[in-house]
Amino acid sequence: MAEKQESGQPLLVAKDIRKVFGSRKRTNEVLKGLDLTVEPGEFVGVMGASGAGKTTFLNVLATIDRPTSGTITIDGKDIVKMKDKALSKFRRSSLGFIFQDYNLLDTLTAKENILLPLSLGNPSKKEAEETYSQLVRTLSIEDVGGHYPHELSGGQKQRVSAARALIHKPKILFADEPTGALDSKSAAMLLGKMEELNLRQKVTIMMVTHDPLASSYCSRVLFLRDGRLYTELYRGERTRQEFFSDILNVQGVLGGEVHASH
Amino acid sequence: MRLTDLVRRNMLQNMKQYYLYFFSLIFSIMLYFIFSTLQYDDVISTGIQESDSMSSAFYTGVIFLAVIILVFVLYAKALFYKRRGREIGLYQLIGLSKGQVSRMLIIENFLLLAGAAAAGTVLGLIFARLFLLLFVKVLQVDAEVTLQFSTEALLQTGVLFLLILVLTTIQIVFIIRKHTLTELFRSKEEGEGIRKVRPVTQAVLAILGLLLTGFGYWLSGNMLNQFLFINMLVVLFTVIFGTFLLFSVTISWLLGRIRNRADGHLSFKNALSIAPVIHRMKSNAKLLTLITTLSAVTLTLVTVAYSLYYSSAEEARQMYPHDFLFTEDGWEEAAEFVGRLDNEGVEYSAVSIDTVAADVSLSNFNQGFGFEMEEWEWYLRIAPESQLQSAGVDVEVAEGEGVFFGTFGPDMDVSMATAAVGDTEIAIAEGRNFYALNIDTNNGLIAVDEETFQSIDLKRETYTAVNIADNDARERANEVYHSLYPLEDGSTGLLTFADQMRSALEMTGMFIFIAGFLGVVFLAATGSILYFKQMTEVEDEKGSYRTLRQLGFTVEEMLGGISRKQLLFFTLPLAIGLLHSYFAVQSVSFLFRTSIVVPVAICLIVYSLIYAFFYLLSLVNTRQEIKSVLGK
Repeated sequence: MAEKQESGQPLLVAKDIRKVFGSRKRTNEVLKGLDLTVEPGEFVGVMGASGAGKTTFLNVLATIDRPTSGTITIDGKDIVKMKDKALSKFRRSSLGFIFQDYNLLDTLTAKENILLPLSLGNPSKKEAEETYSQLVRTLSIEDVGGHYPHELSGGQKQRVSAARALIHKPKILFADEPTGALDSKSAAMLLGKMEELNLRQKVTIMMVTHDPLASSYCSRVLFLRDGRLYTELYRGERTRQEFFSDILNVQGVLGGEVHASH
Repeated sequence: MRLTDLVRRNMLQNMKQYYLYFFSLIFSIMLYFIFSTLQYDDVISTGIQESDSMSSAFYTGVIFLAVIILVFVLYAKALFYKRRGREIGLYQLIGLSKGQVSRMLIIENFLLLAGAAAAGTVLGLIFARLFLLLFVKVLQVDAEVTLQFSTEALLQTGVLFLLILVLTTIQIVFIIRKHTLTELFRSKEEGEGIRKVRPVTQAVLAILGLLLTGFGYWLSGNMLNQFLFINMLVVLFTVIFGTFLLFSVTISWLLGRIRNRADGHLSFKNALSIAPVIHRMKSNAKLLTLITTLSAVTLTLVTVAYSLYYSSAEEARQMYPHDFLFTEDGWEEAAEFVGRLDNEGVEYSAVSIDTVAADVSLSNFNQGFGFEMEEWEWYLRIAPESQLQSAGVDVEVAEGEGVFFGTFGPDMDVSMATAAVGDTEIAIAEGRNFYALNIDTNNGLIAVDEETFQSIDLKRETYTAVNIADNDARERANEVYHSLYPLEDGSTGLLTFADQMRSALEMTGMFIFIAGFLGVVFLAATGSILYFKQMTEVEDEKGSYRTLRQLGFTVEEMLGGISRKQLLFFTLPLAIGLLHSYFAVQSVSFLFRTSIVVPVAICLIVYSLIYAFFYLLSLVNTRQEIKSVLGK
């Protein structure tokens, strides 16, 4: 069933990831041994009830947080063993992020925000300009380059944020509830653009969401429950609508069980 | 939890932000108390010639200090409450009434102020003696330093404390009452919106700012004419308004041009410096203009004071070129004085100088005040060059020519000037801005060659100049002199070089003492306000730092950009203030007979160092804040 676009090395491999919060006496194990392999070109959704550990999982994979134990390699590099400085550099060169609340810098224009990840290195301006204009065309934000974030709508801000996440051509794009603060129309537009980027430009995406509609855009959806992988669904050749109803079914079972377990 | 517990917890939590404010406050109150003590002190009123002007000078200093302290406290408090908007809103949200929140803040405020006032007063008591010693040292007088505890000073400090307390309490009530809940939650973003101005308007205003300031500078160097007063007002207006435009438009405009040239491709450092500076310039413009203008005024005062003090010995020399001078009428005293000096075994040189006094008609003699009179008469003295030379005056004249000494004003132009006494014509070859004979014996003097002097047929008056090389011996001689001419009101005796020196040191010493300490207090106040402002900005930008970290920028990389931003923020008011005061000092440079490069340089360096200190403090704390935000 797995839809491998490229044979060869997987892009991301995580093994037996555990994450424990708290001090010695009162610990809270949020991730209880998760395994995941992501192939290049996948669009992976992560779902689960609140407290299931979705965001923690994403943060750990995205190098924002460190796991208590387990190994993670991205693009062949062991990110758990990396030193802080190397990790920063890796993050800047190989990873892209979209956050629920956009996290744009108020003092910079949309264009400056988008080009920010390139601001430290010294890439050719021409090349950067090409990537930029291609990205803003894909994301339909050609006209907002000179505007400040407070002049933009939520949907525009999130697409600017997406452009910023992709400007340096990262190996993988992490998105944490990217549609969480958007109305349904803006959300649909953003997801459509992400899908387009995934299909046309083979951008690998991993997205946490609680919205079944959002995850129906994915090629694969993981369901977490209580810090463990509950199940996963592949979209395969199904239409988005069919995939959506499958997701709803799993969520129904999962939600029921979550409630039952309380 | 009772209200008092809440207050206590709050204070402890906010102490980190407060401590610099607290120390500045203690420091200011300490100085205030010391100034008050000196104002009422006996040592000063008995030990010093100019004691009347002294205590009134201290009184002026006390009032200045009080104003600086009040403005500083109110401004700093306003910044803090703005920063704590969220916290204050939260109290109301959990059900405290506005009255209770106000009461809580009032208690907190009272405790802080009372603590600072008590600490400041105690430190003041300890250090007052030190200050008095320093004061006596600066004035170079012999006075026994015994300092009594002054009840008046304590009362005066108490009044200031009450005044601050009342005003800040009113401020709290006002802030809490005026603000609604939603506003409290929004207060951080308030007033920093970016409004777009039409580029043409912006460019015009930006250039206008430069032109106004430049014009003010130019006029300040050319204002000595009959419109002096109007000129001064125009300079004041153009420079202040120009400064405001510089901060509100010009700087953003210039930085904006750099930014536009990048066309979105800002370097990381610029993204963290130029962009936020442009973003905030408008809301900071008033504050920066105020700080710059006041810094310029303070710096000018301190520089002028220090320059006067620094050059007082030389100036005394230019007014009293001879240690002791006796006129024709005083020849008996001269004889007696010299006799006494012989008895005392003091080495001296006594020289007789023949002079004549006459109404001299002067033509084309330009005194440099900006208006010319073609011809006028002046009651001057004329003396032969050779005798002046032997009395130690450095002068040389060609035949038929003369050198003019006197006026003490701006540079004069005598290139075309001639003087006439009776039938004798003298071509003025040179005009010097100082005296050849002590200032209280003549309006001015023309030194001529022997032959010319002989051709003037007027009654000779012989002056006796007595000079003593050794400083201590001169002091002793001065005491002898005053046993002949008591130094009292109504005394007909002439003053001596040593007298002038003493009174100049006292006047300028007092001036430098008061101006210096006011300057330091003022710097501490403005420096900490700039610092608070930066810390508030760091607080506001915490979200951005988190984002940047997630995007893969390290703390050090961020600090690189932030330090550039803070450098801009501290340097701009300092640099513009220094430039202002440079031109201000320049425009009154005719006040100084001597080179003031050294004192001016020292003042500017000290000023810059104090700002550098606050800049470093700000950097260190920013690093700490950012690291704590990013959880490292």
